[in-house]
This record gives sequence, structure tokens and C-alpha cells, in this order.
Amino acid sequence: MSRNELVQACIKNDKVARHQLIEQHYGYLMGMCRRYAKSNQQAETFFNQAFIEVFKHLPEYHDNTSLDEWIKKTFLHSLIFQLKSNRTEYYITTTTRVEEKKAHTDLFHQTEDQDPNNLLVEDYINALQKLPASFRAVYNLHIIEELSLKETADILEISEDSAKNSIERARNEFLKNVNLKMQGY
Amino acid sequence: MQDKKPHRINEDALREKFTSYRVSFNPSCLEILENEVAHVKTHASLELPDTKKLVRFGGIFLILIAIGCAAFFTYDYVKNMPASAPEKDTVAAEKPIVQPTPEPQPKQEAAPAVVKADTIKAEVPKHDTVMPVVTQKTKTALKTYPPQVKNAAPKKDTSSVTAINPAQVDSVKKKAKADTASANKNQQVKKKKKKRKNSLDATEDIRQSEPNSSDDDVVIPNN
Repeated sequence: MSRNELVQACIKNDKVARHQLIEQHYGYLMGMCRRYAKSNQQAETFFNQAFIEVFKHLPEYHDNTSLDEWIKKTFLHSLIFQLKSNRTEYYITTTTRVEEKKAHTDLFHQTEDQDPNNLLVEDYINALQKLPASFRAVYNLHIIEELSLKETADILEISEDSAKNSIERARNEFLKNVNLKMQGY
Repeated sequence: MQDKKPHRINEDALREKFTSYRVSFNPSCLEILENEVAHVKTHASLELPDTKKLVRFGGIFLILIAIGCAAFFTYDYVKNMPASAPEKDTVAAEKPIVQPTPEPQPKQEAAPAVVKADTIKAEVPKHDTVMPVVTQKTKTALKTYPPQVKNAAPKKDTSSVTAINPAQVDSVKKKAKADTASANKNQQVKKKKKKRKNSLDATEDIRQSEPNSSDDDVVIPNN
């Protein structure tokens, strides 16, 4: 079954086609959800909600774009929406954490590069999951997804200056979490 | 000591790690998702085409009905325009012109209030003089009527009483006496009024004949 046939079958509410589409994209998309969520359990709920959005908007898909890219983009917007919809996690915890860590950040001492092969991917994902929701979103969008600063700011509906500021803070916080992981905490 | 130093992460390598990261497929998650997606799909498949069709059909019908109604009412309006509209306009324009004119006219007619001003000029000085004029008329009326009343009232009573019931004569006589008594009282009052009026007339005559008597009085001390 080709991609277009698969999409058409999913639009016609074909259960087998739907299973096939989910199975094809499960691995990568679930990994993506784990990066944006605060835990693996929340990642599963994010995944379900995002895939529901994919099926809702599947009739809007056109052949001229890649299906994988289109699904990834839809997932990305759904994940950000879900992150922001939980206001207590996204806004309140962010401000409290930032106030706490202001005294501990010192960029001039960060001289040596950290080799990512020293740790497992799950450890890095755990380090990401410990970040506040807004830092997690900014870090994923700008550094992992390689979106520009303007695109990141547009998606998160913030100014570029605040996006830049929060990226720097997220970097420092993530580095701190990775160091803790490396020290065995 | 090396472990305690902070490090900078190689973000490119980290990005590659994350993008190549895959989670093994979990069929239990698929079942949960399938249940949710099945509900959503049914709702979506039913809602989207139905609403679109309804909007299209309903919109077309509504537009056609609106156009038809508009054409019909405009046609009727245009039909009725020449007969009714100009008359209404002219009537509406005439009424306000006609209405104000009659109203002021009676006011102007009544304005012989101006005449009142003349009369007032005549009357205001007359306030003193009117009294004698009125009294003179009453004098004549009193002079003529009272004797007739005096003569007529008792005569009529007696004649009628004697003719009808001799038993009621006493009561009739009493009534006649009361009438005569009241008539006498009236006469006395009238006489008093006459005297007063006469005295007033006399004083007025004196005033009229000697309007500057006060001046004269003032002049006397000079001599």
C-alpha cells in the first residue's frame, strides 16, 4: 500500500490502514513526545492526543509534501499546544525555577565539551524532562528541531528576546541536569 | 576533580542522538489510541461534509428567498409610490403651515386685549368712578322694584290663602309676615347702601370739582 493509498484509507476510516500508519510512525513520534513531556506516562497521553489531531486533519494533507514531515509538523504543534494548555506547569513552575537557579549559573566555567556518548539517550531525555515546561519547549524547538529564533518565538507566542533569554537559561539548566546524571545522581 | 567541572554539551551530536532515537512499538498503546481515534473519526466524518452541505444548500435557498422577497417588495413599493407618496408629502407639508395660522388669529382677535388697554385706561381711573355708575343703576332698580314687591307680595299671599284654605290662613299670614320682615330688612340695607353711595357721590363730586384742593391747602400758609 503506497503512502497516498494509506492516507485515503485512513480518511475512509479503515482500521487496518490506521494501525499501519500508527505503527510506521510510532517509534520516532513517541521519542519526540518523551522529549517534550515531563515523564514517559505524560508522553503517552501526548502521543494519543497528537495522533488524534493527525487523523482529524488528514483530509487537509496534500500529496506535494512528505507525509512524514507533515505528521511531524502536526505533532509538533499539538505537543506545544498540550504543553501550554497545562498552565500551572508551563507558566508558574518556570518562573519559580528561574528564580532559584539565577545564582548558580556561570557560563565562564563551562570550558570542556561533553561527549554525548558518555550517557544513554534515556539519560538525556530524563535530563530534558526535568526542565521546566517552557525551557523544554524552547530547547526542543530551537536546538533539537533546529527552528530559527523567530520561528520558535512565533510558535511559543513570545518575543524573540525572551525566546533567546529562555534558550540560554534552558541550556544551562539542561547542562546542570546532565552533569548531575554523569555524577551518578 | 574532572567530574566536578561543568561541561558544555555538543549539541549537534545530541541532536543526531535524539533524531535517531526510536521507541519500541507497544501494541497496548495502539488499542487505547484506536478507541479514541475511532470516536473522533466518526464524529469528524459525519460533521465536516454534513455541515458543508447544509451550509451550501441552506445558504443558496436563503439567498434565493431573500432576493425574491426583496424584488417583490420593491415592485409593490414602486407600484404604490405615485398614488400615495406625493399626496402624503404635500399633506404633511401643508398641515404644519395651516395649523399655526389659525391659532395666532384667535389670539390676535382676542388681542383686543389692546382694546382692553384702552378700556383699562378708562377703567383704571374709573375704579373710583365706576362705583357711583353701578350704584346709580341699582338706585333706579331699587327705586322702581321695592314698592311693587311690597304691594304685590302680601296681596298675592292673602288672595291665594283666602281662596284656597281658610284653615291655613294663620300659617300663610306668618309666612307673609316673615316675607315682609325680610323685605323690610332688605329695604333697610338698601337704604343704608343708598346713603353710603350718596355720601360717596358727594365726596367724589367734591373731588372732581376741586381736584387741587390739596395744593390750595398748601398755598394758604404762604399768605
